[in-house]
Amino acid sequence: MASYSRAAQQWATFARSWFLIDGRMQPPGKIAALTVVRLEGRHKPVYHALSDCGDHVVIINTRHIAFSGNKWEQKVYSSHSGYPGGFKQLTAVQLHQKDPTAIVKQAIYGMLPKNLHRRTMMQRLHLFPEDVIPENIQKNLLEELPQPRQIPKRLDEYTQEEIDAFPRVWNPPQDYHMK
Amino acid sequence: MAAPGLLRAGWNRLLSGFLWGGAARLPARGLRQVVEITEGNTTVIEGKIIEHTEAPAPPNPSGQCPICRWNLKYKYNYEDVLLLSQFIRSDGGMLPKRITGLCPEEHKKIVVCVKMAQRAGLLPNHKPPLPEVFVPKKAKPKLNRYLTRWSIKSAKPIWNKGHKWCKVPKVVGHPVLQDNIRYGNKPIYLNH
Amino acid sequence: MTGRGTPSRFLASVLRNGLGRYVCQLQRLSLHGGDGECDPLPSPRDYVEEKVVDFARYNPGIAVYVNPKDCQGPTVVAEYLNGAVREESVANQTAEDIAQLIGKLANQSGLEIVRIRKPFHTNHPSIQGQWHPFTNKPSGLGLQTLRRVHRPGFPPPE
Repeated sequence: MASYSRAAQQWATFARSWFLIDGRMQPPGKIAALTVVRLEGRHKPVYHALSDCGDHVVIINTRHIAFSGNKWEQKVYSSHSGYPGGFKQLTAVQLHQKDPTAIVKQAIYGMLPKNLHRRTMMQRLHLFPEDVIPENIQKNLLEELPQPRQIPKRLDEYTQEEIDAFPRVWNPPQDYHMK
Repeated sequence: MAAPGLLRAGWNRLLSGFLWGGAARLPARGLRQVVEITEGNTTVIEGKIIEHTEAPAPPNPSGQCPICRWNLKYKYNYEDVLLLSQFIRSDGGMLPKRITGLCPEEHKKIVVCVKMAQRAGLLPNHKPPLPEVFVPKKAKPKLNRYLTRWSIKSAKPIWNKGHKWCKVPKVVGHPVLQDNIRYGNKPIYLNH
Repeated sequence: MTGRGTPSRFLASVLRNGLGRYVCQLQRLSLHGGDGECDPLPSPRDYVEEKVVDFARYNPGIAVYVNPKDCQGPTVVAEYLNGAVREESVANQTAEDIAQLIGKLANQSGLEIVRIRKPFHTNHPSIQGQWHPFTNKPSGLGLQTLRRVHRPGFPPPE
């Protein structure tokens, strides 16, 4: 037997780490797919569904998420309060104005397994509309996960050298007045 | 629709008498920029010709339109802003295809890509000029979006999304671009 | 045979240290009975007459006792180093059968012969230690990747 105790090693095995995800210009579904794996602990080799080995995930900039297509206008979030006439429908824009973290929260909640651990795992999720994080959460952060969507460069973000290096695929006629 | 454009291009080529390597290539062209110089009471408006540096030779000089000539067919998308910005005016409108020499098919794709790039906010400086008297209203919250097919005003909420087996699709991207080359084995999902 | 009802043990060596030189675990072998002189049936007397001296000479680590007293029946009693005692009846067995049985007893370790739960065992399950969240991760993890967040007590990101 080893001369040292293995108890401390086992505590480290089930320690919870804190991950950071930047939600700027990211689709909420892709963020949710990334987050659910960490919340359940499925990224660990010691994963078991009953061992409660999920991690904490902090998502910042949920106000600046991006939807593909026309989902800001088309997507509808429905809820029912349980009372007669309590059926409410909000489009994504309305819900986002009401609560900038609600869309990401709803996407993650829908992707988690539908069992009794779901509320527990949601408690390990920390959503922030901007990139301001409380001090105690900042101290815990371990790693930032890469963003799932590569943000395309805007035209004004290209430098002049890059614009000049791109070949002109056609040249306008000599007498053409360019507006 | 392409016939007048092609005729015109051929006429221009004959006039200038410039045939480069015998290939169907548009002649060298310049661009005029309006420059206003005000000195006291006199205002000089001058159309200066912008000298373009000679572009490197395209890889496929026998192509009919600029996209084919540079072997870019099926290879561009809304993210390729440097390419798209060559086909639009400074206010964001498209240049006519009789000027750019694009074939109708590619012109349509470029139009789709430019629209999606503008809705995604990738062309922030290509906007129509503001009116003289401009009172900014309350700033609307900026919503990030990409691959937006329909205009923002025309899209309506899907209140009834249908059953699981026949859901109302939410279109992402444009079917014109679905033949684009995919680097990877992930299929393109147009309906979400 | 049900797995839960029968006795079982885990695979183990005698000294539970994994390695070591060979030590014969059989320490004492006693042959009881077998003095029927005119018995037409085979008895351990043949074995005692023919083979037991050779066996004792080839295995100097085993003390061999021959007890001609007639008791319940001819038996072979093997006592092992860990205290286990195995008693085998050798009634109506020829000398070759008894030689085979005694050879088997001499080679055994004395651990009880029951179902073994796992065909493998190690005292050290992992040399590199158990997995924990920092295995195969670069050191200084929080400092390298958290450029986006300014952390108190750490130098500001470039």
